[in-house]
Parts: sequence; structure tokens; C-alpha cells
Amino acid sequence: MMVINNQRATDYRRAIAFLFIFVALTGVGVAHAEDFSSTNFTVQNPVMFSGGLSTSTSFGLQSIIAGFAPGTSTSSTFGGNAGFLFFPHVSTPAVSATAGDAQVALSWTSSSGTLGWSVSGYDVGQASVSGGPYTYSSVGNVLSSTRTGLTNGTTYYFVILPKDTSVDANRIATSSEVSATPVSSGGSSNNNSSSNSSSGGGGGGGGGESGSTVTISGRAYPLSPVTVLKDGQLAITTIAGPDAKFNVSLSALSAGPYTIAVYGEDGGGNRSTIFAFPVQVVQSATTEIGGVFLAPTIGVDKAQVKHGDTIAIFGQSVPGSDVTIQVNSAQELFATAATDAHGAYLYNLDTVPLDVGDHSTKSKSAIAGEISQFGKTVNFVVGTENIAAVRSTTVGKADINGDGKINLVDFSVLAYWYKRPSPPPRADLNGDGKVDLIDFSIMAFYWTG
Amino acid sequence: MFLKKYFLPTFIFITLYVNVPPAYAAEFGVVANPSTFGKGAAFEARVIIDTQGESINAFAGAVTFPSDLLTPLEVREGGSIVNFWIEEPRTATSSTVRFSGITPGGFNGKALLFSVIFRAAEPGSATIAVESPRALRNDGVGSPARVTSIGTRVTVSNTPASSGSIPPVEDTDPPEPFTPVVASDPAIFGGKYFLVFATQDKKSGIDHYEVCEGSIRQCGDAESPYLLHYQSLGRKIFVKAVDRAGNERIAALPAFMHLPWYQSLLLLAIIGILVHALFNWRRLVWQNYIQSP
Repeated sequence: MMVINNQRATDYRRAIAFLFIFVALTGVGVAHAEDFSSTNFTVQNPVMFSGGLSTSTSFGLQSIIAGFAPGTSTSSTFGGNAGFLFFPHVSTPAVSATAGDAQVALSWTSSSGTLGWSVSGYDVGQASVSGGPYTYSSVGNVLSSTRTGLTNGTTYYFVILPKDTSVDANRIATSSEVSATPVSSGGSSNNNSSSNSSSGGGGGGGGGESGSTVTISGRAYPLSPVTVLKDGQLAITTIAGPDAKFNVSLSALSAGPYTIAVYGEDGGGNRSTIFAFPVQVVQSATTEIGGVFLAPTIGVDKAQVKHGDTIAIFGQSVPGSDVTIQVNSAQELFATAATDAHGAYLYNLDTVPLDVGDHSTKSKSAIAGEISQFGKTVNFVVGTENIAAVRSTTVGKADINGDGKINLVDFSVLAYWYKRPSPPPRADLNGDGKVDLIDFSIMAFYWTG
Repeated sequence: MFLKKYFLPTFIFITLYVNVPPAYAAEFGVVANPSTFGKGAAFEARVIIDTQGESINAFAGAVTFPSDLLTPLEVREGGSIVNFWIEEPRTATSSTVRFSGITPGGFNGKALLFSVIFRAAEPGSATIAVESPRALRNDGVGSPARVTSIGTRVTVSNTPASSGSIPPVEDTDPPEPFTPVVASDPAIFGGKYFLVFATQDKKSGIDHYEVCEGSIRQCGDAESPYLLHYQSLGRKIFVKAVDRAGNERIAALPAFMHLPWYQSLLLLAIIGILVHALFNWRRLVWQNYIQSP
């Protein structure tokens, strides 16, 4: 018979309790899964880790470690999926390439990973033929890289691949390909079109002066306007093609840093979030920005939905893309919907599993290996009656002078009231009784130029 | 005893084997390279933002320095990531350069906010840093990002500097093209018409603006928003952006409304000449008619 003295037992209990409290307080661990319970059972969702990666000269094996439940349960009110559903997500970066003398300067937007994926760094893929095969270089967790030792006059093709945080640092996405042709100093450097170049709308902007050029290509919404801002000011608008692709260029630019921002408006007049991209323009060179992928627009048909009824979640993205809809509730829900030939998607969400209270939803889109960021968040309430949704007035609120645009005029009105007492309600965007940096930040988010 | 026995092993185990997500914070930094100068030397301190993976759209803070050791000479904004300044960084006060501004759409990365040119006035060691740094997320509600500030330490020796200035930025390009806008809003200037304008200069930065109403020769220094003198909007408006190298970019706006005819001296003069000419022609024709057989 084993005897444990009281002091030791107390120490063990203390140690266990201390460890528990320490873990709870520091958030250490990976218990990101959602659990739910009732009075007679508890279901714990498993947590997924990326597993081992085996390679040899002739094969590669990617695997995951996961526990799958063997059974599937159903009833008239719910369905149970065997195992679990998971939606790890990483957005593909937009990439810019600027040719120089025997070199190409690359920069890209940050990839954001969620639900099991976290970006730890990037690989640069380089090829002399469009589509590869690529030679990969690890460049660390940075957003720019200059590829040197290149041959002038030869066109090079580049992709950027974000990597996860696993030991193997697996590549979890691949950007759109961009290209550039280095030339010797004194010559005019040149960038070729992206391999994903638009079949849709195009245009050019800028004055008649000589200078540098920036071309921007990507995906928006079919046959809908796309606006490009240069340093926050309207530079050019174009119309995306039927496939939602667009391609525009800005010319007569000076050498220096620019913030290029792109937003689109879907067929219903709903504006996308702004896709902003810092770019370093080089004298007399062309910079190509490829892989801009505007997030889907989103709306709901009800501001409040009666518990048990359905609420329609809809919007627009690229035709033929897969849209993932995330519903942020106590129990996070995910659903997918395919877009039609016009890029429209619709998902009727059954609110039976949702608690009564406030909820929100957002969506992202994926097509041909490219994945957008999540777009705007739309709120709704699950309650006791159905109330139709009305268009959000938040953008209208940032539009201080009510001209349908949020630009320098609105900024000037806000600047006039900056730190002054008793600003008019129209200028106090967050309603805290003063105009300060927060009001300017809200305006910058909804900026239209 | 208890701590030694259980806490340390637990802490070490968790630290070494559990992947704790790092807590990122936007970083304001000041860089001066080199950091040692002779007395009387001029040097550049670059104020940098590194958003550490977050999209930030509003920046604010104050660059502080010991005014007994360092004298601020000028601020250079060329190449700044900030698109619109709320408080433009100026060397108005002797020991602080305040700034705040926004980048619509947000910025994610590492970039220059602005530079301050100092003169090393007295020997000693000085710290230049951003105090009260603020960075707001591009999330639609202006939530604050975690921020840190890393200053720089410069040393001024007793040895007189060989040169007391740093070369100006080589800049022959005019400021970026821009379009001024005339607007009115009950919230400012009592609803009267005002002019807004802004542009950038990528190399030396914008020095000042001038507004001319009616004639390009009638200009005065101005800031946006600018209350128009002539509220009838009957005159052409010119806005001149001048960079720190003296290059100019002029944007012109046409007269928005026609003046009443009696207010236009030119029009009166033209009408007078035409009437006079018509009168003389009719008289000539009449005389010829009378004199004809």
C-alpha cells in the first residue's frame, strides 16, 4: 500500500493548481477550439496541428494529425459531421516587381493566416519561364527582397509563398506571378505583364510628363467600377472585365514611396474594403503590382432575424469563386457558397444553432489558388421578430459634407474641428464629444478619394 | 521552496516547449547615422514607423530632444508614408516636434514618417525619441495598436565640426500634380466657400502653398482649408505648391460663376469700343450716302 504523506500531497495539489492557473492566465496552449455543452453532455472540438512533412527525391508527403470521430449523428433538428470541419485560411499576397540594373526589387503585402495557420515567413520563387519551374529562396518574415545577379535583358518571373509556423515551415499559399526584365543603368527598365493579366477592363492615368509607371492588376467584381488612389487621392477609375479582372497603369510618377490603394464597387453599389499597397517607385522604371484580390462584398437581408428563421447572406465576388462565410457567434460557424456567372453568392443561414443576441458575419473568396482577405463585417441580431436590414450609414457618417465621397474636403472639415471645443455632431465620427485622432482613423478607413 | 521546486521547472518547460504567439507592437524609432558629431555639425535624425504586421492608418507623437544640446533647423517630409498631415511636423518649439497624420487605406510595413535636421550646439550626450506615440489600426473604429518607441542617443564632441550643414536634397522635380477643390459646409467658415488642396513632393517635401484669386500675380501664402476672398466665385483660382528646393507646381481652377455684366470692366470696355466703332461706321456710311450723286 502506497502512502503519501500529507505535505507531499498538498504540494502536488498546489503544483497542479499552480500550473493550471499559470496556463489559464498566460493563455499558453493551443485550446482554440470551441466547445459546447448541455446538462448531460459536453462536446469538445479537436484541435488540428499541421503534421509531418516527408520528402524524398521522388515524392513528398503532407499530412495532418487529427482525430476523427467514427460516427455521424442526425436528428430532425440537427446533423452531426463525422470528425470536424476546419477552415484554415491564409490570404495570398499582392506582389510588386521593379526592374533595375541586373536586379529586381520585390515587395509584397502581408499574408494573414487564421484558424490554425500563422505566417512565419516567405519564400521567393524565381524562374526564367512563366509558370516555372521556380527556384525557391527563404527570405524570412519580411515584405521585400531584392533579387540580384540577374542577367539584363532576360525576363524573370516571381511568386511569393507564405509559410506557416510549423517546424517544417510548409508553404501554404502561392501569390500571383509577376515579371520584370532588368536592364543596364542608363536604359529604361521594363516590366512585362503578369501571367494573370486582365482580360477585362484596363486604363491608364497620369499626365503627359515622362517619369515612372506603376501597373496594377487583380480581381474585383465583374463589369463593376474599380478605383485606384495614389497617396489617398483619386488617380484613375476603370471597369473590371466579365471575369472581374482589371489592369490599370499610372504614369508620370516621381521616384519615391507611394501608397497605392484600390477599391471596387459591386453591382449593387456596395463598396469593398480598401486594398492598400506601399510601393517604392524607381526613376524611369515600371513597377508591376499583381495579385490584388478585393474581398467579397457582403450584406444581409435582415437586421434582426427571428430565432429559428433563416437569414440571407449575400454579396459579390469573382465569378466561379468559392466564398467562405464566417459567422462570429459564441459558436463560430462557417459555410461555403459558390458564386454564379455574375459573381453573386447567396447563403441562407439557419439560425437554429445560434443563440439569441448579437452576431456578425464576413466573407472571403478563393479562386485558382488565390485567396482574398476577409472583407467587411456585417452585424445582425437573432431575436424575436424579423426586421429588414437597411444599408449601413457608417460610410455616410464619414462623408461629412454628404457628397457621396470621403476625401480631402471631409478631411479639411475634420481638421478644422481638431481639438476645438463643441464640434458639430457630423464631424464627431465616434460620438465622444471631440474630434481627435480616432475620428481621423475612422475617416481614413472609409476613404474614397 | 515551493516556487523553486515547481514554479521554475514549470516555467522553463512552458517557455521552451510551448509555442506562445509573440505580442507584436508598432514601433516608432529614431535613427541618426552616424551618431557622433563635432560641435556645430548638422545631422539628420530619421523618424521611422514599423507597424510589425498591423495595418495602421493614423500616427501621432512628439519628437523630443534636449534643446540645450541640439538646435532643430528644419523638418523634411519628402518620401513620407503619411499622406495627410493633421499636425504637420514643425520646429516651432525648441524642444519638441509634434506630429499627427493619416494614411488612407492603412500602411503595413516599415517606412519614413519625416526627418529632423539638427545642429549639434553644445558638447554632451543627447537622446532623441518619440514620446506619446500613438498608432491606430485601420479597422473602421480607430482602435489603438500596441506601440513601442526606440530613441537614439547621439554624442556631440568638443571638436569643432568641419562643416556646419548637410547638403540639401537634390530635387529638380516639381511637386506631384494635384486638383484643388472649392467647397462649402455649414460646419466651417459659416458656410462660406473655401478651398482645399494637398499634394506631395517625393524628394525634398512641400515647403508651402500659395493661393492666387483672379491673377497669378496676386498670390499669398495659404494653408488648406483656405477661405476664399471672392465668394462670388467669379475669378480664376491658382494654387501654387512649392517644394523645399524651390520647384513649383501650379494648379488652376476656372471661374465657377459668371460675373454680372456691369462688374466686368473688360467687358464694359469691349462693349464701349464696339459701340463707338459701330457709331463711326454708320456715320461714315451716312456721309457717303449723302455725298453720293
